[in-house]
Amino acid sequence: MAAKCIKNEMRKALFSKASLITYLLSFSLVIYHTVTKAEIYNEFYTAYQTGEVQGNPMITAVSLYCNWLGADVTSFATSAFFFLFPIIAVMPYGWSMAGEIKSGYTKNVISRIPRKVYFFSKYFAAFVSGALAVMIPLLLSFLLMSLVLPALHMENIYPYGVIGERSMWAELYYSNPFLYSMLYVLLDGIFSGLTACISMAFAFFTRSQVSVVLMPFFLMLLLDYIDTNVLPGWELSPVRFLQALPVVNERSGVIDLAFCLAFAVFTLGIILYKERKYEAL
Amino acid sequence: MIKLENVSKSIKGKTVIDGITQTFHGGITYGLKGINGSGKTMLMRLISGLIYPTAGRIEIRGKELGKDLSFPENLGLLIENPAFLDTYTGFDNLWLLASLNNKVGKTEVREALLKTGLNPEDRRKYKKYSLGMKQRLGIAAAIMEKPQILILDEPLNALDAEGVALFDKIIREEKEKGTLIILSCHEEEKLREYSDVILTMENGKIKNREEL
Amino acid sequence: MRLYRLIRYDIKNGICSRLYLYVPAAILCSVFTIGFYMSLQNRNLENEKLTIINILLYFFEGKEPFSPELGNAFVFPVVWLFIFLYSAFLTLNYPYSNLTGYGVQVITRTKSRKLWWLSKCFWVFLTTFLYFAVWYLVSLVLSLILHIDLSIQYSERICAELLDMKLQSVQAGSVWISLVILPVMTSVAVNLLQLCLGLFFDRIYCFLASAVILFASTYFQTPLLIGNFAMVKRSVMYQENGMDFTQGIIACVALIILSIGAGFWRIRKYDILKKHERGLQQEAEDD
Repeated sequence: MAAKCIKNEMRKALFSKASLITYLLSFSLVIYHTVTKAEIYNEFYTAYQTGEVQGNPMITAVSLYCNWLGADVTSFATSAFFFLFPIIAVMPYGWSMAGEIKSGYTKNVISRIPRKVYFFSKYFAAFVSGALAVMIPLLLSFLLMSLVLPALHMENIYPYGVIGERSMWAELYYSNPFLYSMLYVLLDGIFSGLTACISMAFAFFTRSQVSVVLMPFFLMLLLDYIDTNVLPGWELSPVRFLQALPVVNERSGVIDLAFCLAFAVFTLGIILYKERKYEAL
Repeated sequence: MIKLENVSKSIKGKTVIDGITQTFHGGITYGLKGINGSGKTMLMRLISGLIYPTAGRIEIRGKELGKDLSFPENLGLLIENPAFLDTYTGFDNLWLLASLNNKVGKTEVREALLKTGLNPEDRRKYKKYSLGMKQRLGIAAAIMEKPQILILDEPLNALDAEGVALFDKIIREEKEKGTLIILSCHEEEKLREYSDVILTMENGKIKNREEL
Repeated sequence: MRLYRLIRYDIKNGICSRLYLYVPAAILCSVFTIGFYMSLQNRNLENEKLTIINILLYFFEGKEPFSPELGNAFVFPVVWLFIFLYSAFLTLNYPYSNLTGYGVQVITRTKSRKLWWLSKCFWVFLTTFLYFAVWYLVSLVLSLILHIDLSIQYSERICAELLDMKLQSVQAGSVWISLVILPVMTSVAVNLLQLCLGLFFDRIYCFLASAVILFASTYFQTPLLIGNFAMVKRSVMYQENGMDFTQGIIACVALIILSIGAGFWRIRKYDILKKHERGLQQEAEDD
């Protein structure tokens, strides 16, 4: 029963119009980023070949590992992608709980299967859809950029694409940047999945689908404000620490883990409470 | 008088109304009959101006809907499930609507509520209403401004025996006033009781016209 | 007369019964103001004469022109974005709730779709003005409580050290335009564009469009992105070749007129249907 329910929810989450539109929007950012970066690299490479570049070309500045969508902290596409990630994560399926409560569909379901099965299936589907909504564009970007840019190992002697030794996974960044990048894709996926689950949990408190979709977005903006103005020092804002290179401060694995745990506990806590107390009025 | 000339409507490539030509005269009650998805509600939406035809034209007293008119004048409408503002009472909900046109005063609003068996002094908010009460409020909203055209989509939904009896009386009174009534109802017996003409719909077309 | 009644209805249902939505705005304004005030102490600037203009400059400073070539990471101006995005959020839901359920009863009584559209546009104007009025009022009240100077002057040292802002010769008129007129007009223009887009797309996508336009404005300095005119750090007050105030006002007015006009055109033939009825074809294919 649980497997069937999860299968249904996953099918609704992954093969919906909302999912398609989300991917189209994020892919357009990926394509824009790839094209602009390819142009810049082409100019650099032409200048390099013709000897126009004087002195040390600092060639790692054009490495794949600091120029893909997840790491290019100077580009519009990367900044926009992470700024909008709370909406991108929620759009495919995070709103569905609110929609089904509002329409009364939940009555049809919980009269047939246990609440626990239904809510956890939805939670799982929201998590997976949110995670994929962010991971797939990032992976696509990495793939496309690897067709264009050289996969040069980064060196901390140059000012471009550098991370400090205190930063999370710093050693890995220099020794195995591919693994580092993939781990960041995974981290971003987990966080986005949890963001979609926040939306789902919030649905128990409001019927407004607009509020449910946008609440995580405003929450992330608030965290960004706190990071900038109240608690500077480490990268506290998810919008920043999910980018593979530092934006302002170094990243702390402890903080990342704390956020993940906090979101997971909060969202699961609400689901666990509601699966016992929920009434379909 | 409402005149439909070869009216068709497509939504996202699917034809929901297919070449309907029909005249509706004032003072006559038209019953729409047909299975779910035959196009009854869509036809009502077209006549009430909520949607416009993809082809053909709809004229109301010589004025074309969508060109000369956005919505029919003097229209009373009950379409979709009735929906009102949750935090207002039944009376306040109707008064808010009535104040948009200022055609009727509080007295007429109270009368409409009483006709449908609702208490104008009831201070309960709309969100506390039962389904039957919500339906009654929807009917009251449709009749309170003394419309000349009354469009009612499944008006008997959720009504108890008393509600149905009150509705019977409302229809009789509206007929006497000469109101053009277009209604749909799944209870064949009731539809025949109310209607002067029954139009049977199938696949967006009027398949049969029966004068009673 | 009918328009007046519609507007009255919108004020009652779209503003008075939704006043609770302005509370987060007031709270945010308080948090940002107090946060800014506290940061003076962290920078040993308590003795500097802080004025309300400094606070408004903090709200509407935006982002200095950004150049990716320098290799610096892009840090977006979160306070500025919060202000304009919350305004967009405030005007997102209400107009389209008027096209379903109860709203159908309202629009059929108006007899004119154009009047309905006009009243919604007016509602957006009013809501945006009220929202910014809340911001200015809360700043004013907090300034009084914290004994902050209410004069039109501002502390240049606070601007330079806290906001990294060295303003060109500033007149009273420029201050009014850059801190009141242009931010409000820009927000009205973006919100009306969002309203108009709502006649073509789902509300979430319309908000997304507003968010992208505003975010892109912080990244790219161009008059084509209207948010630029609402940022002090993009204006002629901050840099010689900055955004011109007159150009800003013209751009906002043009976008407002375009949005209202496009809405008029679209609402004439807009099908007032439930969401699921719009997707008849899609649902048939899904089955």
